[in-house]
Amino acid sequence: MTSRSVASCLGLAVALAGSPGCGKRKVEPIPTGSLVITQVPAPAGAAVTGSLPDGRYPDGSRVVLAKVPLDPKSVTVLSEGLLAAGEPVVSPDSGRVLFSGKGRDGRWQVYEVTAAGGPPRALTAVEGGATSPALLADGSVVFASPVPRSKDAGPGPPVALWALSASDKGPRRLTFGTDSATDPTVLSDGRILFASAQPGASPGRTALFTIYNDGTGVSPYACQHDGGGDVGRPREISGGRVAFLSRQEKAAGEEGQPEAVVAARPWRSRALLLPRGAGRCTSVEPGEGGSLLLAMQTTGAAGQGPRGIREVLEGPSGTDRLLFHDPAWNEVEAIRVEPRKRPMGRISTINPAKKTGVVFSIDVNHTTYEPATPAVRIRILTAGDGGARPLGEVPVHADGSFLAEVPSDVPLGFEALDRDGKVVRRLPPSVWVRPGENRGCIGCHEPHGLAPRNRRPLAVKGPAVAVGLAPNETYRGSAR
Amino acid sequence: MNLLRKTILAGIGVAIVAGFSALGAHSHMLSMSGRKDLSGVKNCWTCHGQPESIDELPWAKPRPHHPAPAGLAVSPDGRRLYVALDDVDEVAVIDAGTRQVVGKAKVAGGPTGLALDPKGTRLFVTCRSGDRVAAIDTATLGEVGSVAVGTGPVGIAFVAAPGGDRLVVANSASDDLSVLAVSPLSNLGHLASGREPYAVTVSPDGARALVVSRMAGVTRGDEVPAAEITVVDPAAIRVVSRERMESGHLSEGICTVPGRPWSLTPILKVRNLVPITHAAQGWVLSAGVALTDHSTGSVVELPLDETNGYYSDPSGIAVDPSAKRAFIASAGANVVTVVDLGKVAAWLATAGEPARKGAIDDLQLSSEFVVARIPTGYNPRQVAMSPDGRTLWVAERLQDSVLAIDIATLKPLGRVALGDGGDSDPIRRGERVFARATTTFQGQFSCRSCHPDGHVDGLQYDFDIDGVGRDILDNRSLQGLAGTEPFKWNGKNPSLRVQCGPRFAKVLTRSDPFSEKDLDDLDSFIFSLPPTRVPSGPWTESQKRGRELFFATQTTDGREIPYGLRCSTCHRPPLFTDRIPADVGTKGPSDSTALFDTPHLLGIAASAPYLHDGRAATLEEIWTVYNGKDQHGITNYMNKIQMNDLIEYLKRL
Repeated sequence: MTSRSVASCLGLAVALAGSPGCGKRKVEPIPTGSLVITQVPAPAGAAVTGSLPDGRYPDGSRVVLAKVPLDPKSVTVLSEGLLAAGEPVVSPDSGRVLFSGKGRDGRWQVYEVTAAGGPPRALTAVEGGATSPALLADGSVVFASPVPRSKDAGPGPPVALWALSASDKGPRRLTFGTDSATDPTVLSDGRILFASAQPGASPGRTALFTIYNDGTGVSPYACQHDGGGDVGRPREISGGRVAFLSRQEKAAGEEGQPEAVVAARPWRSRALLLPRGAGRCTSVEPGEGGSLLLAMQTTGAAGQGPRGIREVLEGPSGTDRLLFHDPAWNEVEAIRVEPRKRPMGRISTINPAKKTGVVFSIDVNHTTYEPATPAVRIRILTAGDGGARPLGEVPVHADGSFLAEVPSDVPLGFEALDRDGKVVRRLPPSVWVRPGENRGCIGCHEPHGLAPRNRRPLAVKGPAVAVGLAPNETYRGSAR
Repeated sequence: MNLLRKTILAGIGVAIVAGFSALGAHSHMLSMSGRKDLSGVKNCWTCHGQPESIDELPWAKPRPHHPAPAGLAVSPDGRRLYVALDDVDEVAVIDAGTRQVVGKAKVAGGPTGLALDPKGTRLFVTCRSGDRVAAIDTATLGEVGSVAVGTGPVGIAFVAAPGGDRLVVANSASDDLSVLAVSPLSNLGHLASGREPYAVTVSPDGARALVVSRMAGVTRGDEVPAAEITVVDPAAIRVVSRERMESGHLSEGICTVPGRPWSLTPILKVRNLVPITHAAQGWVLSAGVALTDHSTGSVVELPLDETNGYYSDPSGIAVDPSAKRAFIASAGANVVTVVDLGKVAAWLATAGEPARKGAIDDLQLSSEFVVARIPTGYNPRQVAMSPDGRTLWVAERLQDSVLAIDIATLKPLGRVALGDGGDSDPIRRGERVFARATTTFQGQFSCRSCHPDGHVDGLQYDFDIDGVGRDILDNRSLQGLAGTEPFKWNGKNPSLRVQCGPRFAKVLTRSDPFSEKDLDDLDSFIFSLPPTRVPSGPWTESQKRGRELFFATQTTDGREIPYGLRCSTCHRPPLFTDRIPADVGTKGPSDSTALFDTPHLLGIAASAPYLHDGRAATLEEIWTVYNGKDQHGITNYMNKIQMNDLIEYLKRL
């Protein structure tokens, strides 16, 4: 096998149209159809425990570029000089490749290789490390920090999502829940899709959520009440779908089952992408012409097949072929390089001068709970050292609406109280508002995927009832 | 040297004066507008000037005209497609087999709606700007008859009624219907309709005409708006029933379904009563189709949008002869949405009343029956089905073309170019920006969604930028806007570029702002919109008396009307605005200010409701209900007749 370093100017640095290459050589674009691949040594060395990326990407793991025609013996190493690397993403214009990299100091940070060439450049230098990069419409990098811990390492501080742009003085925190937010990806509509624990569910039960590019508008996206298990690594694929990897609570290892939901009806469409037992999958990405690009190890009557990159065309006349495999490595992730439309952008609605936001519900008695006991007050919670603690209560108006001004950037939960003060519906502290954000809700645990009824809530005819932290109190974060 | 010194000193002096003036002006603008971005301000006249002449305004100048398809009709034998080209006063004839234009008829007055007699020998054409219906001989393409109808006729249908053939015409600007005899072409009667009647169809038995209104009726306070389907007995010339489409708006099409007692009407479901905290989730608007069961009178509104995908501004609709599928032009999304009617029927058979009532809000439901989205050119507005059900014709209005779609494969067969598309015309390009929903988050809505024809939807909205529940504002017409800067009800936006700039994206579209080029084109389009057309003809005595009252300096009993409280002071000609915010005593408990922009009055009669929050349902109410202290002009001295005269005058502006 021959590998070339990016520093040799033979790789991505000279591979992009219009970019100045080394010397006077003509710049050639990356041919569409090339792959950016994560390879881990085979056989893998002793897994390093403690952090999730250390387990997934043992030392020696690398991110490489394989140009078409694909030849495992001819790849360009993009993560040259790093102890390990993984989780690559490619910018829509194919001008940047970002990935998680483990530096010589043993810390995971987000690195970038651009058309300018040279060795990987660290984009982050975050205490606690950074992983799982994604790219927003304006080129800002979204990442997860601190580095998530592996399960055998026990609970750690929740992982949050952050954004960093070239003009920022430092990373901007985007998520403020009590549970970790991981595996961000940017949807074509500009929202950040990520995985997090389903509020109130058993440990290990995760679902998919979205936020806007400034952390406002946290909302469920899919997998809230169907299928169960642990879901992660979501990606937009063909057919208006979002694919993800799922793993049931009792399954071992990191491999998952590729599933998808249709974006048009995400809570009524969850389905397997491959027959159960078809193989062990570690990444699913859009392939050529509507196909799937999978990093997986097939299983069948003949036993386990090779672990490599496969192209799967779904349907009755579908095909499945091994696209890329180097016997010296295990390929665990792959992204097909092709020009993509830039995601939609969005102007932030945050008002940095504020320390509060506003929450209203049109009708808290619009719910899937049965019986839908009418609520007369809403208790607003945040997370405290000993669990959820109340911030205050606000009245529910005759039409079921309420309007509250709440502290921003802290976990918020809600309890609907009946006439006797009994809790009839509950959302544990898991959502938040950003400074100056106005957040409207339809009901209280209403069915997903609804548009609001057209009526003016009584609550918005008066001022918001303020609930908040005690004077001089600052939320410092807490375990669940 | 002295001369040089004097010149230098004079220059410095001028610079100092100019600097102070500029600083003072800047300070004044900041204090008045509260904006730091005042790039749209050129000089004092930006906010305070009057045009020297209306003739200088963009909307008064000649503009390019385009063969934009407005209406379609297929001949009974399916061999010909007639296309109304309102902007060039023509009806084009297309050979359906060759898809070539084979003839054109000149029809003055903005030909818009088309209807054929059963033999296909007569084509009846509504002329929207000519307020008439013309009859065309399809053999010669010559005009053989004409009759005056109400104002702004759009939709038209031929009804073979028991008492004789009839035409039912939707007069969009006079909110009424004309029932015509066909031979000779003549008026039989007028019927009141909903607000802005727009499309007409005929029940399969020919006994009823169904007319849908594009706008919801004027509402008060927190009342839920509703558009109307007016069911007419053309033989008896009377209204049989009025079906209500709750929160329905922008309906531009209606059709019946063979074998079922249904009519289908595309609607925009407005949620104007909900504070606009975001655009996602159909929070502001969503697209749907209202299914009216005329055997029971029940209306079920079904969604056409999806949880994460939106297909805004549904317009024309057609059903294939076998009643299997409905085809809806999703004008803001540049697609035709295909609905499987069998699946709709199956869903209805199992859906209980709560599910039916809440169907339009269930964004996951459309996948049950929407079976395809067929891409089209710019702004598909009307559709027509060939009699054999094999071809769907789609009017691509802002591309000057008609698309033929093969119903069997749902693939395009070909496109008939009626013009060059107008790409070189900034007004046309601006109208495309205005009509496309892709600039909104997930394509939720377009500018046209709330401003059809650049006019109003008659609704009030609560933008959360001012606080939830604060500063609820009536939608304002964009017609006749040129020369009336500054904009917005608070008068803080000195230019359209500011009005439609990043703040607009932040507050409403929740997406990338318009590009600079799009803003240029949008400026061109919006400023090209003339004021709403008003009735022509000689002034009535009432209108003349009203004009005297409008310009009065004394009350009828001889008391001086203070200068600041005369109508003509703030609403001074030629645009009938002084472009300065004023306190007319209408500040409400949720308003942040008592100062509101002084709107121009050109075409004011067509833009009800009135005042900044739409509290006045009629022009009369502005003074009879909301001017108790004479802060909005001295008017309480007027008797009923005088007030009526004033209103009659305003209707001529």
